[in-house]
Amino acid sequence: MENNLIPIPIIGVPIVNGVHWVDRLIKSIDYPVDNLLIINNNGKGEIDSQLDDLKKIDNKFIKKLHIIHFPSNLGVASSWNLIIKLYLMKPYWVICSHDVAFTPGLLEEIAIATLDKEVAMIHPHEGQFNLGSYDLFIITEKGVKDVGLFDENLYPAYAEDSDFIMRLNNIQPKMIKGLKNIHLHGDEIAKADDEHYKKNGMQTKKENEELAMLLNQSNEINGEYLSKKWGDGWRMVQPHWNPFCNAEYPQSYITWDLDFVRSKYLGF
Amino acid sequence: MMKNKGIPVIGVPTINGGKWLKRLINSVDYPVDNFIIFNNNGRGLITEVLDNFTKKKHPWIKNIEVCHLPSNLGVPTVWNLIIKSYINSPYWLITQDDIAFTPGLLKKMHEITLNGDIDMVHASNGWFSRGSYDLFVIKESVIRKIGLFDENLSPAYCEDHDYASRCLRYTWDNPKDGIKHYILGASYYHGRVLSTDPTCYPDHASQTKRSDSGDISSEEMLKKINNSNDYNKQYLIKKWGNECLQYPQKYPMGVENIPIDYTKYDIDFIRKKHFKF
Repeated sequence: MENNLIPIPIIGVPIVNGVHWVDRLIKSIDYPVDNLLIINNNGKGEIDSQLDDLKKIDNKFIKKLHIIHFPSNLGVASSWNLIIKLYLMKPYWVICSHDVAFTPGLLEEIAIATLDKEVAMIHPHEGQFNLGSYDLFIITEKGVKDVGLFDENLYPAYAEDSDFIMRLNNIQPKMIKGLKNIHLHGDEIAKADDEHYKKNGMQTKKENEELAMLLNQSNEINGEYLSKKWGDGWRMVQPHWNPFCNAEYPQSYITWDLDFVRSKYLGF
Repeated sequence: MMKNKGIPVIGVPTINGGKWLKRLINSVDYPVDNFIIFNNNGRGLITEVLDNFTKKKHPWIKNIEVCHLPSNLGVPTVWNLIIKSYINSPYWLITQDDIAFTPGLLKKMHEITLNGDIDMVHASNGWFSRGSYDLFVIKESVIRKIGLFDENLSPAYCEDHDYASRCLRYTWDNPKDGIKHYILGASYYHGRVLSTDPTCYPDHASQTKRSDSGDISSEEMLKKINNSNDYNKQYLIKKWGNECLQYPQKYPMGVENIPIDYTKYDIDFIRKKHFKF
């Protein structure tokens, strides 16, 4: 390992099931990382010991592996926010899905890209319609200051990325979309097409049919919430300028609706 | 109408309170479904002590959980996590680590909480006379009305003042649906003495800043906490005006038409108060 490399301060990964994917993710790290944080959202104790076993993997690039076992599923948006809050003083946060793996050189490319302090978001994969993909992304301190945290009403999953895309569309901060090296999502290199996503993405759903059904419902309900927040144009990335059409509300506007969040509870 | 099943959740954040937590857990004398400790130590100094709490069977507690966090999330963020972690709970009992329940207190708090008219139960009056937040019950009705705790007040201090100001403001604006507090005026241990002892708050409470924490001396911790307190007091004045606990201004931060539960997460402000762990 070269000594002059600036380590990646934090990579955060929420997980509900499918520990083998995280095993692969850890083994794919080929660049110094100060903190790898795994947020265990399983809530039923089914994967606690499997996750704890990951500490035995000897990867010289990882300084510290921390696993938090939460008593329930906090959801994606809350987990992403927690990654930021738990490593508050870091200049940026690498956030990824559990079914991602880094290809050789990608993490180094990310570390270099973050040297531009004007950048708010980095998406190694440009994503569909060049909006940036959220299976692996980097949010910088500038991103948090200008765009805010993720909207936790979009519990437990889905549409948290679309909400952020609306804000980014309105604010137009500097972003990097598309790096030379692209990660694996599922079994293949991430691609911007539906077929690829169906085949390789959504691994949490694929582990459990019942869960898949509930997550589909959550997706629909969260889509309706986005229509209220940004207008029906959100699907075409033509949102209202202000959330909920209220001129007083900043782009980062979020309040937390207990009943709405509860309506999507997955049972764990 | 809530069913009388026992206390659904007791939640407690801790930085260095291993010995206090032992006393707290031992003082539980009423059925509790979940007792959750959020370990804010961030340096691994109390991991083992806390894990030991989960290994022993407790006659009254069904499930003791410890969540080890890699850093100190701060009081309001952990209070919110207690709520979010048990999202379907009808209420959450939140306590500091240096509290001990006196016999019958938990039963009493639970029974009062079952009363549909009550929104919050405070074990004592608190020094600002709007209900203490060292040991309190918050019901789902309150979260619906005024939202979660303001995380800009991390790591500690004034999160209770902000919430009390919001309760007051909401109740003024919604007199028929105001937030109803029940203040027990109970006697319970806070630090080494009973809460009813006049020396309790000034000399014995807030054990986090009175105790050494591994590599951080009590003097150093006190300095960090006072720094946070000073910044948070200024924030509170901006948010609710000079007399926030008497006459909180109409809108938070004076911005018209902003709802009472809105806060803008201000990373720079929170970073100024960071404890470095």
